[in-house]
Amino acid sequence: MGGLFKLLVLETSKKAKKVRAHHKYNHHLSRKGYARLTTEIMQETGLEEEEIDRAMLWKRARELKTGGFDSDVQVVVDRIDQLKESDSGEGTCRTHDVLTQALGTDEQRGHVRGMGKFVTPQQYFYLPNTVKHYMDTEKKKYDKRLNKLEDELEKLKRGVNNVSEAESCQWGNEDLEDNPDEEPLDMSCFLAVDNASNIVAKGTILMDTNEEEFLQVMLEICLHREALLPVPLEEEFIMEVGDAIGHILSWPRHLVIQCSDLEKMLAKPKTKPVKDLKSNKQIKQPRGTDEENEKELEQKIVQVEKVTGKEVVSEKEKKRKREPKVENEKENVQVNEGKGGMTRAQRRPRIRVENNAVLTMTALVVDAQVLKVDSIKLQCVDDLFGYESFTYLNWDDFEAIFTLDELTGSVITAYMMFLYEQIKNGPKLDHGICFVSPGAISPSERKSKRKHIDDASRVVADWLSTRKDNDIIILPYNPGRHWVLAVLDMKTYTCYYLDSIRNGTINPMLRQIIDAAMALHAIQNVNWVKAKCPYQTGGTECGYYVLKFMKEVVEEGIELLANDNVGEGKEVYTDEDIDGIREGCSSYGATFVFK
Amino acid sequence: MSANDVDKKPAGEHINLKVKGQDGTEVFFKIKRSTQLKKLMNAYCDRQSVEINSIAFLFDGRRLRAEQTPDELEMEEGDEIDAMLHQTGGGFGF
Repeated sequence: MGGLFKLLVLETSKKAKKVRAHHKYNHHLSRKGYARLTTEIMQETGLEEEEIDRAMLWKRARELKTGGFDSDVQVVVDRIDQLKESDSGEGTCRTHDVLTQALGTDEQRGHVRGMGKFVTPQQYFYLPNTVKHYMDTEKKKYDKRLNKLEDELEKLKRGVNNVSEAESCQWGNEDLEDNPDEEPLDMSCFLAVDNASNIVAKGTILMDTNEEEFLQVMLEICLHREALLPVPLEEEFIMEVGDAIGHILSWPRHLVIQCSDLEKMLAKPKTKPVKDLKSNKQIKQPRGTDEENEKELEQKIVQVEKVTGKEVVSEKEKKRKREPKVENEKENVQVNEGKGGMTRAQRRPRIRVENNAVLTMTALVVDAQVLKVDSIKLQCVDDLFGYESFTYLNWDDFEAIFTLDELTGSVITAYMMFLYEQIKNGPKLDHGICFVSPGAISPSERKSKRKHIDDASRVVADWLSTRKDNDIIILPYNPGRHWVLAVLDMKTYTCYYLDSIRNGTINPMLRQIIDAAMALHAIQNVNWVKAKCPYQTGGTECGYYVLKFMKEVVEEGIELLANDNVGEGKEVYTDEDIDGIREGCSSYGATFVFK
Repeated sequence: MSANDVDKKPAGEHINLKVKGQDGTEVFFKIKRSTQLKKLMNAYCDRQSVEINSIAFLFDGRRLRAEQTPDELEMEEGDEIDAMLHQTGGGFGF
């Protein structure tokens, strides 16, 4: 029994030993498995799963911990390496891959490795000749197309490189050189209204039939939004230039100025430097000469160029651009836009400057000096308004004075400084006058009425509380595109209201501000009096009238108002009266140029 | 030039600026040197409840544009910007 068992065991053992002896390529993965080995390799080498083939796995799995391989394995590994080297990279067709070949064992017929059951090599690999042929031709076709595309791409790349190189090197020059070539095709034009110098827009001529009185133009860039179109598109409710951008309009022929014509026209005076043209600009010239128009046009063009962002400037001009003067011009343009799109050419000419020595001198100083710097700062003395304040005067502010245009708050402030200086230093009697800055009490669209009144009345009340000995408070006020003056008599609690518009009613906002301030300060009702005063005849003089009122009050005292004698009973201030004011404020402002 | 830049950098990328109003008020802002001043202007106008186009911002007598940055203007710590209200009035303009 025992002997039989022993024999049986021996037999089995012998058999197993024989089988095991065939097992030459032992793996050293322990319990890892190929799946985990794959992820390991992927992490280590960053290879994609598809790139890891069977041969690599086989090799890795059989590597010893100490490195190297068993002698049996080494043989196969060498063969794998050899095969891989000679591999043309075409990939393996069928399942005769590197490992199979290296091991030298034939794949079992009848199934395809890795494809599961019931997939025969015939099904998997066999392609009928027709299909093979079809695929070959397709492949050729695509190869051809691909090559062509690659060529084109290469060409394009080269082209782009050329352009960008050219751009970085000679961008400015290119523009200059190209423009003359384009000129015959250049259909862009400036569009004017009323007269040819009053350019309001830029556009393109679409149709130019020679006999018609109107041209068809496409409006592209608008300079003056509010200007009315010569031929409005009534059915579309387009009346103003600002609405008509992108629309096709008919425009009177004589008001369409082709850009190319304009450049030719301007080529003549351009021999003079721009600076000179400007500094002695139209001071003693009769208005409306051709030359002046040209200058205006030139400025227009500079502006248009800026709007379009097209910089047709030579290297020299570029340099000049850095100079403050041109900078200032830029600023002027901006300021003009702020004032509802006014452009400089639409400004009025300087009025009564050439016959007035003071104004002429000031204009010379201003043109020569103020344009150079952006603006001049006027630092107010602290006791003018009761706090540290300042104002800036720029060329536009002066120009407003010379052209008798709407006055800015800065000029009003400057004039108050002027009057205050006269009171302090001069022989004039001190009537106990103090001023309130128009900037501190002006309304804003964004502020609610309530808040505006609160804020402004607090400013006034604060000022009143610090200056108890003052008898007269002068408050210029701007309710919006207009100047009025309130003069508060602290002795009688009377507030005189001076409005240069004949039928103007007392501004309710200003009234509430002063009422509220007085309620805070003195708990006293204010008696409002609408003073009789000269009335303006034009649409821009109110600022000058307010300055004149202030001047008279400062000089004559409150009795002037009490006796109802503003302007000595005049209906209108004469030109001389107004010019006196203009002299005063412009020359005072000009003294700061050299400070 | 480059040495100058290096000197400036340690001052930090932020800068404190003071905006002074005509009414004597002062508002302080801290902005990045590379930030467009538009941000400061908007913030100031919001705070003062005024229209941005009615205020002129001036630095060293120059009017500031919204797209400029403190770096461009070479502003330094504690520099003052003046905010000036722009008002006009003619009479029949409104």
